[in-house]
Amino acid sequence: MHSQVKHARFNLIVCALAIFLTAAAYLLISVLAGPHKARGALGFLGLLGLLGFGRIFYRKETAEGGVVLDERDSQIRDRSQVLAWRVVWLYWGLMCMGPWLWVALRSGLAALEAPTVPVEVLPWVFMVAFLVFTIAWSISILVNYRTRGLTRDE
Amino acid sequence: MSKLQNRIRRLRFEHGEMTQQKLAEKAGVTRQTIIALEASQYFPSLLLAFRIARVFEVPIEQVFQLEE
Repeated sequence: MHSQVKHARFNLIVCALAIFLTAAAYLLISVLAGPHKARGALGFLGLLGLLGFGRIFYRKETAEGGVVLDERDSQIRDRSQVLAWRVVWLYWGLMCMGPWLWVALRSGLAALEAPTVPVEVLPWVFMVAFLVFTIAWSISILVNYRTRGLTRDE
Repeated sequence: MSKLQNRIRRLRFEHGEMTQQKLAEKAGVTRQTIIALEASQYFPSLLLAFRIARVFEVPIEQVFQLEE
């Protein structure tokens, strides 16, 4: 199995763990202490710091002086990054439009005349953007290695 | 529609049953890339195509052929 595939799988596991624990903590704290205190659950997204250990998967090839990423691996990585940025851009667009709907559903259409979004939403938007990028990048890498392998007929 | 075919697998066996790993090391790529090349799942850069041809000591057109 290629190191980049291991790295992508590791990323997905860390993201899944962080999402699960954050959601579970949010629900638990909401029930026990109320929704206003539940924002503390965001702290579990700190687990995403484990993504920094992804470099471990390239240690063997680096130590042996072998090929870490050849041209095909680099193409898969770059293509996946482009796709991930596109997904983040879509997410960002939705996050800019979504609050209007959120305000309307929560406070009625009249509230749209002077809509306000709590500032506490901003760190969530940022953290989720990072999650979206990492997940899209990792899935794209796994799909590229497993299926097409960069086939391109012209 | 054009398609790039290659004779890498045959050339490996004609060169002392060279393993994919050995060819990968000589061409400076990973074994997975050789596997993808043999399966025509990946079309190499011109540089890599020349490096592979050089490993087998044959002209590049004996390794890769463009089929219409």
